[in-house]
Amino acid sequence: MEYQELIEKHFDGNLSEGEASLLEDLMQSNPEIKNEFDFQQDLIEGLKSKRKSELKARLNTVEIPAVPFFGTMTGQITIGASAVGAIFLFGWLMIQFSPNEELEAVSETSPVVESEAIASKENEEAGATIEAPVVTIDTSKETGSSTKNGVKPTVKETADNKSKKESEKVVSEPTPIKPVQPAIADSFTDEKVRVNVNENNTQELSSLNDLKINNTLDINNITNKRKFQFHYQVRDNQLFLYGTFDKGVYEIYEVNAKESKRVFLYYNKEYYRILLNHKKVLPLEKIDQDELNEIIEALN
Amino acid sequence: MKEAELFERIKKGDEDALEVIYKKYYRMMTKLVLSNNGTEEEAKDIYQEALLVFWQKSVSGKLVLTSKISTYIYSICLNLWRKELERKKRHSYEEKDGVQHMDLEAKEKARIVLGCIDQLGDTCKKVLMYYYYDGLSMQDIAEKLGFANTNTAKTKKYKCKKKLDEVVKTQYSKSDFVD
Repeated sequence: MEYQELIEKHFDGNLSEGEASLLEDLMQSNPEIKNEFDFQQDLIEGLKSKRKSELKARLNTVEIPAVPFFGTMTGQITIGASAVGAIFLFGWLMIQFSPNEELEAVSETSPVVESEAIASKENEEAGATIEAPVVTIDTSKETGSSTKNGVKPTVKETADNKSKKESEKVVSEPTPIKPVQPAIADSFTDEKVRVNVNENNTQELSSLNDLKINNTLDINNITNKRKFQFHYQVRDNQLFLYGTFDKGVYEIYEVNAKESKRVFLYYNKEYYRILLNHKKVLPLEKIDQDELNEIIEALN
Repeated sequence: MKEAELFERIKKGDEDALEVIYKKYYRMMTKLVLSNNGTEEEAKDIYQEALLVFWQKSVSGKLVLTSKISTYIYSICLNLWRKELERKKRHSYEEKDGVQHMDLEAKEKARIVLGCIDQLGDTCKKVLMYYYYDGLSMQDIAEKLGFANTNTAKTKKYKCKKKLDEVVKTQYSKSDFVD
């Protein structure tokens, strides 16, 4: 068998072991045979390379359907991030603009309200009422000190207390009244909060014509709003107080006149104005005693 | 199209069926490389190489498929990509000078051979490529190219090969590649 035939059989894959051994010996002993073998190998490699290139070129013309954006990893990450973002945004909006849910949560802890009747004599001509959801007023004594147009605090709320509709008081004495700081219970956690009013205060209270003590506003304290640390909002006949208030006692005074109504917050020995005709969250603005008196006088 | 039918068509050297498979498994196969530090181009290249291995083995009748086509191709992709990663790792340790010198000579020879193949007629090219790359039998080549019979295919292959030998040898002589 000539070496050309052996080489051909080799590249056809039909070489037997004996023939392979023979070809190996021939190539080692004769460089010409080795060169011919290498030459044939170059040709066949070239043919294989050519064919491979043709097939690849054909495959490259195949149109691969584009993966939908949501099918790609980038798309999935984007959609996932968007969904998470939307959830957070939704949650944030719910927290910011839906305090009612928190109200319900807070309402579960019903406050204990103790109230005591003040000397109540209803004046038919009186138009102003003071609402006192959480009040205990002692009117046993009477003093001569009085301040024109003063308002006697008759309402007390704590962070734990609210909705005290059962405590309605009527105050009627035609003498000027003066705001009286309530005697707050020793502990903020004390469920019973008393407001002690001395006789002088009683007189002052009664200076408003026919003051009625009613409970119309539900008060809710919201402490988890970073944005609002000392703010309020009046909505749906509810007062939302934003802030921790040092976990202390605050009081809400509602003064009802014939045609208008004013509400004040008493906290840390200061009075703050509560505007009822704003639904937005507003900062609590301090008002001094004189201004408070003027407001009350204006209500009469 | 069912997988068995596709495989039968592949075994007969049906290039349209190859395109169908290529399209069908493209995302699945390239994802393997893409998710293992490969580029889109590398992923495509590996998949095409794997698919052509599958093609060669199927057409030459050397493959007895015992799994799904996708499983078989996937395993080839996996092996090829592992080899490629190893090659990349080795590449930085090799002495590039010697390798480059050998590559240049081999590349020049390959360029000459490819040029000579292009000089052949279309039928000659097909006969030789089908025979040496695809591994088609003479009978299949005869059927595929519409020859009268197997002997015609054998004769054609002999003549075409001889012609290529002559053309390449002439070109090698001009480039001093022949002693």
